[in-house]
Amino acid sequence: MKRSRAELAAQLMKAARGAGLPLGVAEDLYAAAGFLDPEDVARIAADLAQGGAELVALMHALDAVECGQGSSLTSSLAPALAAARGWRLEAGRKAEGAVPVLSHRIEIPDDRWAELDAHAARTYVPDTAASRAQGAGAGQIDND
Amino acid sequence: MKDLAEPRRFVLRAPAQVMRLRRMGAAFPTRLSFLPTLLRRLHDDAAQVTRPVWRIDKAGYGHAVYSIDLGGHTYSLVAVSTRISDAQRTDRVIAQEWDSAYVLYDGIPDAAEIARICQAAPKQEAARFGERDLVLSRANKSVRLFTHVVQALRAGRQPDADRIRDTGYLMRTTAVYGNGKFGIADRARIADRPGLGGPFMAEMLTVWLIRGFTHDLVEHLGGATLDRHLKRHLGIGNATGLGMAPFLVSHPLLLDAWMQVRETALARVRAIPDLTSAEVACLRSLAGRVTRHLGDWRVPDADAQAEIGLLRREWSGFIRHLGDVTLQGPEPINALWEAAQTGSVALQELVAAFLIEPFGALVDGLTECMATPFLPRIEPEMPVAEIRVALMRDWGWALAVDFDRTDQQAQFWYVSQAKLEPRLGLRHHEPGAERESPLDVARQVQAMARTLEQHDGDLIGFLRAHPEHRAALRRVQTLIRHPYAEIRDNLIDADCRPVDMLRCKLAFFGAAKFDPKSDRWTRITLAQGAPLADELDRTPDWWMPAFGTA
Repeated sequence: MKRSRAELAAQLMKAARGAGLPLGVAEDLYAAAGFLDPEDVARIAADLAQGGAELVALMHALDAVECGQGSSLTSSLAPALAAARGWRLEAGRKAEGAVPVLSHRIEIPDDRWAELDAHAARTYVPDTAASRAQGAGAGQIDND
Repeated sequence: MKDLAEPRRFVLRAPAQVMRLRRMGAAFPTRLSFLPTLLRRLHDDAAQVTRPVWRIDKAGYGHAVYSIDLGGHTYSLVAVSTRISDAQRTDRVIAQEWDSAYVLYDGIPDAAEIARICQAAPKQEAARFGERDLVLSRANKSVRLFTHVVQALRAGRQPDADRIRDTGYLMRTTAVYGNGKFGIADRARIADRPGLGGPFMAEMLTVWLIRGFTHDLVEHLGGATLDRHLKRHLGIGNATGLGMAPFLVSHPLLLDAWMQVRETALARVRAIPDLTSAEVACLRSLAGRVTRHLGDWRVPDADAQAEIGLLRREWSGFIRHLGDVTLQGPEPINALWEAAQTGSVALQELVAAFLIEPFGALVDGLTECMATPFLPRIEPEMPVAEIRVALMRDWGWALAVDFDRTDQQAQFWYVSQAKLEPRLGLRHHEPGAERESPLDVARQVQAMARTLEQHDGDLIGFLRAHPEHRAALRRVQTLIRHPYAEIRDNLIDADCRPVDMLRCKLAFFGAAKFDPKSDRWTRITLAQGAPLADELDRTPDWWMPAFGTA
């Protein structure tokens, strides 16, 4: 199914949080949604299934590149995540110049979206009668 | 920004004062708010609203289409009216049915597109939408007033003016979704379009058009025309809960932009050296309208009504300065501002909005700075010493919180599995805190600061050793360059009132007549007194409208 970029951003953020990644890394993925292609999303989903170690290491590597330090960046996700920071990745180094955001929708297979959904669901709190009655701070009928 | 040179201005109010939750929760709409900005644009464009489709049956169910040209594009509201049972009518996210559903469409929908929207819109979150669908919304009837207005018109008379004044709208929107939700268009599709580039402009256009539909619907059912002054006072309601609050935390650059614009406007008008007699007359006339608006503002909640009562008394004391020597000295606007500083926070915020209102030529250009395409970025090369200075300068309010005390982390924000409804729980009494949403900014930053104290090395090393603090570090860095980006209060404290966050955001939308139903839920009115669809040729002048005079 085709997804909007905003949907993808929100889904990646929740999935990363649900998979136990640090909030800051989840935010980096949120920011990258406008630069990802379907293969990138597949790679992110695969890494989240393994605990997200590649994603965390990639953020650290990009931090190093941003500071002018050498870093081995073999991940195909690196250019998109660099673009989300406002610069280009060229020959493993930071190059100035923003990458245009991709505004077109992105085709994500439903099973992949479901994988991300499963991670995201770990950020939701099960419904209870008490939380339903009191958690939103509003009644359940509005016929006035 | 249109302004070629920055006009003279005072120093902006300090973020440490402006960004406190209780002050944000006393915000009033200004002429810089999003709906007034949109209506000025519609006036400038001489926009025309047409209603090419009206297929509503005798019972009031069916669909209609409204179209409007703005900035070289045509947009259409597809409105779908549906029968629901009283047992299904709830303003909450957990609702499954609504009295009416809407899509703002990019262009003029053909029959097939109208049929698609009529099928999908009533299902709201359960449906999928397309790239030409810009906004998705729904609204429920204010049952008592809606019924009364229809019955009165059917009986050949106008509805009771007091009842229109007291409720102020025929329907309440309960969600207005934009920016890609459920498959609708990403904001990027319209971000560069004239008139829709500002924040929430497509959403504001939607609710203003919905307001017109509610007028047409009661006239259709009542078989008669509403008096124009009554119709103008029927805005569009909105019921808002916790879903709106996290936006201010998750969009710090937007929050900073909105606040910078409002505070810059206030700083500019305070620096006006003197007033013309016409400007003095305008201020006095506007003050009278505010007095009447406050008199019209009545809510069921006793505490909220008491606060309105206090504000009425304070306002009546304040406006005496419009008749004394205050306006004859230098910088008279600043003199008025200073006079308000002995009053409550609510008076100060009302006076800020009041003083900005007459000076559109000086401040309206600022609204072009309300949107930003950027997101907060981590700056790994920043010296650690700079972070430590920023923590001391900007985050004292967070570092001072004692999170060992149960009351200072008494609440937790969460998303329920039930239709993903945002809720608030009591950490020490309810399950689910391990899945809380990350609105505990003060706690995150304090934890980061404590770890950083022990760190010996550069920021890259810190980020590598402590990825769990990456988000907090980014917030600290963001606040260095965007001083209004952060609510400077502990959002998990027992005393945190989410309704303060709601009011701040709603005031930026242009909402008024805040009608809190709890500390986390409020109703409001939008577009009350605003021009009707056939009044866009009139110069908009409807800030703080008073019944019968707007």
